[in-house]
Amino acid sequence: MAGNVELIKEQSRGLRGTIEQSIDDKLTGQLAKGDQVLIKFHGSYQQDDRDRRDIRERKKLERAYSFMIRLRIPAGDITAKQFCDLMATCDHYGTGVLKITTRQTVQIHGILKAHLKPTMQDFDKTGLDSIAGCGDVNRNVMASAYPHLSVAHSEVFDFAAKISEALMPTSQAYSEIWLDGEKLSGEAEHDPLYKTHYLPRKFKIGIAIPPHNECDIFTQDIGLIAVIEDDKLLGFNIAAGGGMGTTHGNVKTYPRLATIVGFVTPDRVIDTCAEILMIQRDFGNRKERTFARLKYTIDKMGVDHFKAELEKRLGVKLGPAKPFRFTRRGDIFDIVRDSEGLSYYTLYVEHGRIVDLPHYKIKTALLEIAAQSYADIRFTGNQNIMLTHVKEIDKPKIEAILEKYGIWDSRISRTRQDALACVALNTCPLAMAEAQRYLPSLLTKIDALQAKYNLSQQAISVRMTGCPNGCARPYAAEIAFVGKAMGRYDMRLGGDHLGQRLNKIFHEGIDEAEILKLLDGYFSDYATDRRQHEAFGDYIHRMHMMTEKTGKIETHARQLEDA
Amino acid sequence: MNNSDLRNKFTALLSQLQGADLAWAAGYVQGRFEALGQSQHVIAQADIPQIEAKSLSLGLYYATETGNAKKVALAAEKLAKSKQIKTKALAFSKIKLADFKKQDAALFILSTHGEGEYPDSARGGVEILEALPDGALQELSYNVIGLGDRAYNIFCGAAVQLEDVLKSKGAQAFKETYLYDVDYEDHYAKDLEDILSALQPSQQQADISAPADIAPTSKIGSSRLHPAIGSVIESINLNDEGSDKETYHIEITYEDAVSYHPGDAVGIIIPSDDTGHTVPPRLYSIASSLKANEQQIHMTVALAKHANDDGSLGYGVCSHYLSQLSPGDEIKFYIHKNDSFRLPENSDTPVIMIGPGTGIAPFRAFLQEREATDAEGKNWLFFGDRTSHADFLYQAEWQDYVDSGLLTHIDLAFSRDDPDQKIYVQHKMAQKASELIRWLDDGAHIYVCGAKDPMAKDVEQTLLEIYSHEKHKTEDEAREWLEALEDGGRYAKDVY
Repeated sequence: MAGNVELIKEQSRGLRGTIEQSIDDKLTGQLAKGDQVLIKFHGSYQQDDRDRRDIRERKKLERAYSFMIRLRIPAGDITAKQFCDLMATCDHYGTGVLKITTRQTVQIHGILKAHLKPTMQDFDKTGLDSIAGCGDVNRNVMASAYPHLSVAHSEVFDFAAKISEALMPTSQAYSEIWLDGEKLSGEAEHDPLYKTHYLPRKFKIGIAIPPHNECDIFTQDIGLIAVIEDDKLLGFNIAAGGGMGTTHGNVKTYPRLATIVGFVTPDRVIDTCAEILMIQRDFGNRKERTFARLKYTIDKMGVDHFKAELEKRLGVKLGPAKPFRFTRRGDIFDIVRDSEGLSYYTLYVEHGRIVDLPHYKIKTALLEIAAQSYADIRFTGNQNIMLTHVKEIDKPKIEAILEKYGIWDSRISRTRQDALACVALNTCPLAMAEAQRYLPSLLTKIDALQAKYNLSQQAISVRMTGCPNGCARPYAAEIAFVGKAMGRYDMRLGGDHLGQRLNKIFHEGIDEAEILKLLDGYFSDYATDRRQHEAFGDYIHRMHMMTEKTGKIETHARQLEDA
Repeated sequence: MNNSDLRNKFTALLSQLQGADLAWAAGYVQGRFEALGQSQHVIAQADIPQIEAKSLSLGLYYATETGNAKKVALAAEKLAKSKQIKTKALAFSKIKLADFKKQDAALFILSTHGEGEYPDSARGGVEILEALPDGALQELSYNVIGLGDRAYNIFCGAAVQLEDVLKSKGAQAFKETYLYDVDYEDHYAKDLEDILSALQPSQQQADISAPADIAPTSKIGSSRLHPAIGSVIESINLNDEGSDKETYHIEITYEDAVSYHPGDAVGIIIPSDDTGHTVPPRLYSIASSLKANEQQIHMTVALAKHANDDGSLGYGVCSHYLSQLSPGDEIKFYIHKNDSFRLPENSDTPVIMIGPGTGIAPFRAFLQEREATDAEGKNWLFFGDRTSHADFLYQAEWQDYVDSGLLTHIDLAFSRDDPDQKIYVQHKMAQKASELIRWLDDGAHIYVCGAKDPMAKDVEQTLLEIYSHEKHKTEDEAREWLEALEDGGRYAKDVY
């Protein structure tokens, strides 16, 4: 498997392959096999509408192929104008639903092959691109969205764009293929960072400003924790080797939280990221993609060896990590202010899908606000949206619009506000079960169970993915549902609320009735037995540890008896 | 007449009539006779000149819509030659006035298009005749055979009009005009015998055992009057979500001994509505080969939509009827032969097929046939429609044919895929001009099926331009080249 992808990269002439010929082939809506790999590096995935496979076959049509394009938006920050332009492109060439990802960027689904080029050109016209949106390269760089956390916020925040730029491939293939840029003659551009084979696998970087951890930095290949004292950025703690993906039935695969290896000053942080990336380039597993993420590389090398290699390449020792503390991972659905007095509103977007619902017209509201330039736009790592840089004078106008379209709905439960789901069916080729289309209805039932035990004020992080690859970071949730087959999920419990402890698999391949019955039991126990301020995940973890020690099941005894 | 009283009155009345009045009476009686539902016949002519017996030459002109008139003409040619009459069947559009003078008589065989219109292939000839001064054809002795369909209001309109033109120019009929309904095959062999005998009054009636290929057979599924009954086994709208078209792929199975060839059309008999109103049958090019689909007929039917006077959406009667069919439904149909639209006899001959939209239908039949018979000839398909995503008729089948090598080339034009420009099949042809000409130089047959206007016209114009450009020829030379291709059976159109 990996060998094939490695060969495609090597022979691609700087990610060009035969993408242009593939686009010209009118017989199919697909790209040639190799180009399907390469186009990921340009930010796009070929998909097909899995709901329509049977009917298309009867219609004597090939599958309903289309493309998802994921933009490169470091720290999720765009202008009001860019937001309006993106929505227009999405309406014109896509499904009309702009999807906020779990990496603070957005993607457009349903773009036909014939429309790839005009779509990319639309992005370019508004100053955006989708370079390295997917593929074996450094992906969109995340950063904490909340400016009120520190006066040094903007300084930290800007590192997202700087790191993103520094770690981009040098190939001009993107401009050449999509923007009618000048054609390369001869050898592909030399790329000192990625060379000819790029990385063995995807690579993710996020930046957190304590006490907030919306970027879930321990799930990233590199997590940077800003260290700020007296409003001054001292540097970053470096965490490395986080990653979520696993494979059902393969016990050698595992989710891993990043290990903190030391501290660097701001002037060295970009070099440090680049050197870690190059260690992964040189040491990562290129035989089996399943074991190619940095987490396996580090575990194979050993953390000490990895750190020594990094210091050798950097030419300096890393400093000892500085103390830090996280208290929150979910978004704050409220107004915060930055040091200059500008306001920031965070708005709930169900699973990141910017689309009007009957009583929650988020798309219309955002377009009205952006069209008047009352606010710029920022996407959060929890797939929500922030109105940024709002002046005092514009606040009443914004609030009238939010009121008019039912935004700021107090009926949305705290658990629902924090929930994450990946795309899954109907477009993701990896999905084994539903996620974003199903979790809302399951959450309604979980809300009811929380209400039954008077737990509605308790935010519980619930995450669902259609497969074990972990796009919605399920292994760092208090309750996770990892799709195994249609309607069946592994239920994982006992992660913490802040993303610092992984959950464990408790129940394999269960359906909704079983999920609800089991949760009913857990919530009942939790309501009765929890300690003060004890989060649900912490309670489950404590009970689980006790069970392991005593060999006795102290909790959920009731359901097991019922069963 | 069985009633002797009536017969006496009738003969008494007739004895008072002469000349034009007698002719009127004959026509009137014939009309009444037909109105009673008789299928076939004969408008008598008043003055039928006798032709002297000698070595005869006959001008034989046909204008065909689907190949039936040509078939009758070829049968006439064969029969005439067996009678030592010198003749050659020619397309009516190739008529030369000078030839009239050298010939003893002329026989015109023509079909009617739609409601009494001339077929395209008649127009050039009619224009030449119409341009003549009155009386210019006094020397010409002629006969007309018309092919039509009584399901239309105007029956054999083209033949009747032509006869008017001939008469107005002073030409004399040597035999009464024959107007056939769809069961012409049951009649024409014998009538040709009569017509040609009228040219040779002194000769014996020709051998009754006419050549086998013109022996009439009336069998189930051969015409509107002898429909076969089939059962729908599949009906699916080939267009996907997002298309503003509906194109139905309909498969019929049947038990009758109905046979057809790729290129033939199927006539669909539309059940009369509740008020008893009937509409003429409609023809659809068959989209299947019997060699690939035994006892089945496949159709590709575009649902015709139009705005009614009140602004509401209306549908074409037949396509709407077909679109509403479900598996298990019964359907009446017949085969409408189209001998002028056939795969080359030599299976090694390359073919170029141009069939955008539902024009693709006969080429699906062609390719099925060529696959089933392991034909070695190369195949090149031009197809186009609105969007590749939702309007790519039979896409998966073409992909398989490209993979298997059956389709040597496929060129595609989707007019709405590119936001900046509309691409049609003729643009793809122009892009491949030199290769297209190379194929034709190598003996390829080229076929066009689909909308007559503008597609088939644009395609033909493009072919002419490609040829004159590639070969450095004038427009007239290009036209001659294309006519020669058509006459040689290498350029065929099935357009509507």
